[in-house]
Amino acid sequence: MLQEPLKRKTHLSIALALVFFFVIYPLLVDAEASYLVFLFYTAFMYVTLSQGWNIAAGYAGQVSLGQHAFFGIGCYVTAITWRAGTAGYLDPLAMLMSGAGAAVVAIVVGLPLLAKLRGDYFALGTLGLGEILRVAALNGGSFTEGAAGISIPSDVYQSIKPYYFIALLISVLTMLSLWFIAHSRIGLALVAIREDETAASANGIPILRYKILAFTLGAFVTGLCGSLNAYFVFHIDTTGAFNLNWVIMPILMVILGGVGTFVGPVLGVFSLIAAFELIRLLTPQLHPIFSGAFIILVTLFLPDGIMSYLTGHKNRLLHKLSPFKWLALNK
Amino acid sequence: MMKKTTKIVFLLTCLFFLSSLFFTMQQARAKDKKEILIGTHMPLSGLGAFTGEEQKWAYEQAVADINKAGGIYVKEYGKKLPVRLYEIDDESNPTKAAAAVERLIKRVKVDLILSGQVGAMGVLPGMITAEKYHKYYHGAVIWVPQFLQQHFKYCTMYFMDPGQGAAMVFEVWNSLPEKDHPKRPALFLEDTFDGKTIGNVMESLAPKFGYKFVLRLTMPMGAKDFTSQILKAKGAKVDGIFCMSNVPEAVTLVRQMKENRFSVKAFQGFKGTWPSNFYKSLGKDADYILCDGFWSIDYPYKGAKELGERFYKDFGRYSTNVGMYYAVAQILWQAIEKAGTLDDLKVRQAVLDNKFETVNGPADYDERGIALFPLGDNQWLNGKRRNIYPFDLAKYKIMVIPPWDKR
Amino acid sequence: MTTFPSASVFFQVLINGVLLGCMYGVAAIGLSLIFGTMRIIFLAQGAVMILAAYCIYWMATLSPINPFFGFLLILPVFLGLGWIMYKGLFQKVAKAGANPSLLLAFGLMVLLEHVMSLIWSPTTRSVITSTSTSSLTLGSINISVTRLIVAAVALMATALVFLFLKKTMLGKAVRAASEDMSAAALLGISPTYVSAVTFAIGIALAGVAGVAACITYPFDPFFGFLFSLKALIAVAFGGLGSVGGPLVGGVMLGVLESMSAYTFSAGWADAVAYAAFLLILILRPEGMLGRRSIEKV
Repeated sequence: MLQEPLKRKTHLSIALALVFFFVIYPLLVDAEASYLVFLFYTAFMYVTLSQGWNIAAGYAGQVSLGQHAFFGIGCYVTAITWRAGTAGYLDPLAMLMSGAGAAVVAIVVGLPLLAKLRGDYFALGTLGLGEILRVAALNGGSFTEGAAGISIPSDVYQSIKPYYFIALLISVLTMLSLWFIAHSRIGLALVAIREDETAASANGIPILRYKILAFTLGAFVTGLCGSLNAYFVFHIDTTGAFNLNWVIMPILMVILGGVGTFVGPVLGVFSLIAAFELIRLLTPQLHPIFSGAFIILVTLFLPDGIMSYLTGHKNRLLHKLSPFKWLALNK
Repeated sequence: MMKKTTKIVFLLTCLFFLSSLFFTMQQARAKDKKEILIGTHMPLSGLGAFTGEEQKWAYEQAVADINKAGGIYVKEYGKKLPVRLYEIDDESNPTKAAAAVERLIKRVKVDLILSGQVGAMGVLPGMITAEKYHKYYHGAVIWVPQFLQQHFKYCTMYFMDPGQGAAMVFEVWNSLPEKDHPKRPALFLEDTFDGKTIGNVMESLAPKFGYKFVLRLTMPMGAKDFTSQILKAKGAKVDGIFCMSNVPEAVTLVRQMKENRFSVKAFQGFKGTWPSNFYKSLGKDADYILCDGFWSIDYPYKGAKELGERFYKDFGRYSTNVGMYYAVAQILWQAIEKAGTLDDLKVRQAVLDNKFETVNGPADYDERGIALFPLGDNQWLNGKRRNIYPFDLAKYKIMVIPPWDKR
Repeated sequence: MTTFPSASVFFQVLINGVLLGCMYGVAAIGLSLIFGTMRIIFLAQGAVMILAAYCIYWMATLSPINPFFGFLLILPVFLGLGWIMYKGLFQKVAKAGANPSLLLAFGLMVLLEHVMSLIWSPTTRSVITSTSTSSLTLGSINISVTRLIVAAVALMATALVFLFLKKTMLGKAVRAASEDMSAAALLGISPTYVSAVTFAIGIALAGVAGVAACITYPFDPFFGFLFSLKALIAVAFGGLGSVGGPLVGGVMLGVLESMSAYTFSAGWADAVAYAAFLLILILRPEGMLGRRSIEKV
């Protein structure tokens, strides 16, 4: 984890240059007509979603399969407040509320789940949470408008630029907070929990508090993304909001990039999106087959993620992830 | 430790991929006009795939037919231009449908967009996206209220009003002999937008036709056991069913009705009962069940019979849908010619201003951009769908379902 | 809330729940076995089931063979398929950790689904058998013959796997490995061999579940994922890694679903099932039948 100051400086300047590039890119091209601007917007969303999963799963070892629940909550809080007139278009307050809503659910559900469940059981529990919320929204009567979903007139839409910059801002803020957490006492505590919960507890680390913190932070940023998505699609229903894709894709991206690493998920997001786009270029019709084949190829040849390939270190964190702890076959 | 060269090779490959992404985007820019590029997205995989297959076929036939005639004459270019169709699979997923339309507009740079499928799953997100970028979306298969909610300025729709569908069901039931009218009908609805919408309309229109639904039951998507619903209906002495669902649910429902010896006089299915595989999955047990249809090979309109036979030649079965999709494309071709340009608003205006002849009968749009066509109703018998509605076009009359033990 | 008007309606709902649950149970046993030894959640279980369903569909349409023979035919074929899958894909990846294995299973699911929809088209198919809609009548209760057969097959499959684990040397090795892989390795049990055997059995069970599903329900290439989810819940009900547990868990899930579909509304049945699942996870994480020791630290 520790890096020499010089190396750190280069990393920082690369990061700044990248952010600078992303900030000016839509100003240089015709943003409305540029497909790349839309792709970047999607990528920023997935960076946030991926890191939201990574913080609990990668750093603290609590693998959640219920991120789509938080995404859906974000969508619905925004859509409901918007419909009621309490929030406006791209209202920062509504977005924060959406994130907070997801965070509150994460705390309420996380308390019993994280206190009681370990490993796979926690993963299965969160999967159940997502499905319960989906069915609840489907049967929510006039509050969620059930299967019909909430439709908001799209004539307020003017440009993709605000979406682009908000998504960029959220992802940068997520990355920053992850950086500070990873390099603070909290980060050390999280890793200690992942490595050996019993030992961490014996050393006086309040494990439940830290687990909840990581889980809640992940839920909060995921809720933010859901909110932005609601503003972008103008029609929120259960199929779109609680779609399992919102949990599966980020997990794929993080694993592709490197679980429990800081830069890995970002690489994962961009390479997966680029790969899918390329496959679509070659064959517009067959691409779902290729995405399946692509995932299989990656796991066969890059099982530890791109990061470990680049740095040459075997991703040891992966082996220690408590949820799917591999029973050390080759020991 | 990874070798340095492999690392460099890896990075270079990544760079190559990314740059080729940029490059192809440049390439896609329009050159001088040689063809009309029409984009469409449809569910070729996922839940709606069974409808996407027929839509794809119908669009491709419409394109081939117009190109055989030399293309569409566009005045602005002073010549006939051939049509090219660009299709994207939206996987029956609303988010992917929206992304598909983004791609059509920004990457493929299509001239106009032909409708996707099935309301909130595809058409609605597609329309909202097209509206954002001021691209004309020539829509179909979306309910009127859903369409009106969004105040679209760049979209039109060609479909039916839920009230029209509901009225058809009651009119068909009323055409049964008086003693066989369902006295205690029940609604079996999937928990989707379509299910809820049509369910509400059915309930509110029922009294007008002298009906009252005694039960309203939900069929969750993907559910595998409807015995509970059947037992409830049996307990309430239900004698007529209106069912809106997908094919697997409809098949399972009928199978379990027979297993539970539950007979009704009339069974009207929407969506789940028209595909040929519904009949194949049930065999004789599917006889007498009613299915909606957006079109029929028996319609007296020009090209209808020929199109139906062509479909039969390719698939070995008949369709009650392809004519509707074919008509959607036909309208667009005629509108482009009348507009004399590919300008989005002008083509849309031409769609609103003119009357069109299609294999699905005449189409006439109102000023909101809505054109409705009469829904058809068919009854399964011996593997064939016998068209029984609209009454003035239909060759057959509805029959009462005999109880299971008398079949 | 609807109450049961008579005892016979209650029993009818109960029996249907049990029969439905047996179906979940067969799908769950394979999942549980694979999890037990390899610690991976094999998401592609449902897709493999549907692959078996399509094989039977092909057999039934192209030849006059009775679909019920499918049970005997699928078993060896899918044992082989499972073996190949393990040797070709999972053996290497399993060494890298369980996370890539999960990803691999997911990739396999996506690939299988779309290959199937390419070969057989995404339209709904079904297999009609001589017993497709026949039922037995006991008093005022109707019992579907097909589902009865499926329940019998589920019981037989469970019994066979149980006997295999209890009575054969290989089975004992599998059990030892699922309790403690490194200790088993010390005793000379080859981990890869044991894993390959378990995986093959798991896939074969998925095949059997697929045959059971296709004679009961219409299916399409994407039908399997829901089964994977339900099987997962059934496994959690019964306890991860056991054999009899998943079947009992499946039956519990089936009864719970059909009871809540009758008394509340079918729309809430799934939510009730998931809520019960969460509750059980929190109160008895080792499953209703599991032993207390598993997750103790």
